[in-house]
Amino acid sequence: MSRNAPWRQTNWDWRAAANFMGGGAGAGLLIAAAIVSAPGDPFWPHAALALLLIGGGLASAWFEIGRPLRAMNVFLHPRTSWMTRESYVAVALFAVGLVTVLVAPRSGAVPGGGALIWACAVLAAVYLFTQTRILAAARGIPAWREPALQPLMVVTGLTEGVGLMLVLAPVAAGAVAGPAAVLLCLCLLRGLAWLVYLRRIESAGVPPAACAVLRRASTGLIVVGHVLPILLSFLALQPWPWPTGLGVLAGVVALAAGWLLKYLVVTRAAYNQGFALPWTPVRGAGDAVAGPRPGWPNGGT
Amino acid sequence: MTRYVMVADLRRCVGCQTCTAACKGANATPPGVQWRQVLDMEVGTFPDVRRVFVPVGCMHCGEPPCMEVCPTTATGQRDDGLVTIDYDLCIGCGYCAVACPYQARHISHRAAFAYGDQAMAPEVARFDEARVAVATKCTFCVDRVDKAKENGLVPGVDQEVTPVCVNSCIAGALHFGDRDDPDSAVSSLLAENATFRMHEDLGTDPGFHYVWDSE
Repeated sequence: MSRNAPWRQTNWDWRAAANFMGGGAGAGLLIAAAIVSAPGDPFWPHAALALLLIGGGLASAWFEIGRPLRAMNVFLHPRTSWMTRESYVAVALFAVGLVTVLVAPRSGAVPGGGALIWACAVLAAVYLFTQTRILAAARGIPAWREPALQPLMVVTGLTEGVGLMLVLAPVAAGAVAGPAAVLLCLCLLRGLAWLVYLRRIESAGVPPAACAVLRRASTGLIVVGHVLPILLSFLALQPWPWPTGLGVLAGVVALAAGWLLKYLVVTRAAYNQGFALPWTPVRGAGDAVAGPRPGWPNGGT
Repeated sequence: MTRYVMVADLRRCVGCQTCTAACKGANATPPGVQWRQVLDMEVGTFPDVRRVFVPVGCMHCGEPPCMEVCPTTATGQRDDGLVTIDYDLCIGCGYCAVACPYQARHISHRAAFAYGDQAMAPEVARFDEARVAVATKCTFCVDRVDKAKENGLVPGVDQEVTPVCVNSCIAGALHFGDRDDPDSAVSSLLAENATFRMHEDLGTDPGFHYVWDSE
């Protein structure tokens, strides 16, 4: 029996999702560290962790491909493929990132070090953008090609990055107030982007099964993943004890929510297009009626 | 120019799956992988219910989203419109599979046979290691179509150079040919009947037309 209604794609599983989790968080961390770091602040812990996350994500995707020994072929189609472009940017990012960690471990440590840090941030931003475009170009998955997903992915990456900055604050001896304030704003933005995305997919021809998956998770994601880190960030900004601990907690929750969001979108809500006919065939004395659209209420008719 | 397309007359298709079996036989696809299949759809509510049989597979799109996303250039498009896969370049990343709105691409990550790990003699004879762990899909029987020139034959007219699913169709529902040739059978079918293409709104310019009524 053939499947007519959209079904969940199985070509990209948690390993592909891990690439978006690690890549987004790593890129977001590089951007956040470059913007929020003060002269003299250590940059290398952030850069090292960011490169580890991005590399881990790429390695995870590598484990998913069918012919891993041919992985270098991924560089062959920069003209139109966002996956190829992502690989080029990753190479540049690793080259500049490693040099920065070795040459300018601290902001302002060496002349020109600031430029290296900013180069890292710019490449990280481009990397984040290529990842959002990878999903947008997958026209077979309606939940991914919805344009509202792109700003959501960008702001999620940035939120994860700032969250990681707070997590690293005790280790990297960084300030908490700046990142906590930024995290508060980003969580607000991400929550808004999530709600807009949810609303858009309901009316954009995304299979109802995919919408249902995201709708079911939405309340928990908003309350635990957004309201909670906003509260924690707010408390971390007050002249109360344990601002670092509160900041770390806010960062962990914001990061986990971002990763859960990506996992849900990339794997659980990844229903394919399915099949649909605008008309039924006219046989004998029958009349044409609107065609079936399996997977939608009343078969789409 | 030549633009090879498939035309399925939905008024004629009876859902016998002979094309499905013929494709399986001709292309030796592994279990679970069906380059040509016929969907069995129900429309309406009791007592006014109809069944519609819809042959599907790779649509050999004019603007193939699979080719656009492919990071390796393994997916290509010929001048005659056929969308191809170079199995030696493909890395099996699955990006084309999630980019295809027709669910036409398949990746078998390991060799699979009808009765588990033990291959039957015909399966051994036709096993192609190059097709394991890479993307595969309907080729419009490109190996047969390519014999047309050297033999002076016409795809869609002469059986030797026509896709096997078309040859096997017991109802005369499937047709293949050059859409740019005004004298071809597919051109006549498209000119004389009401047709549509699936998910046309996605801008893929599919090369698979469905006849649903006369003009």
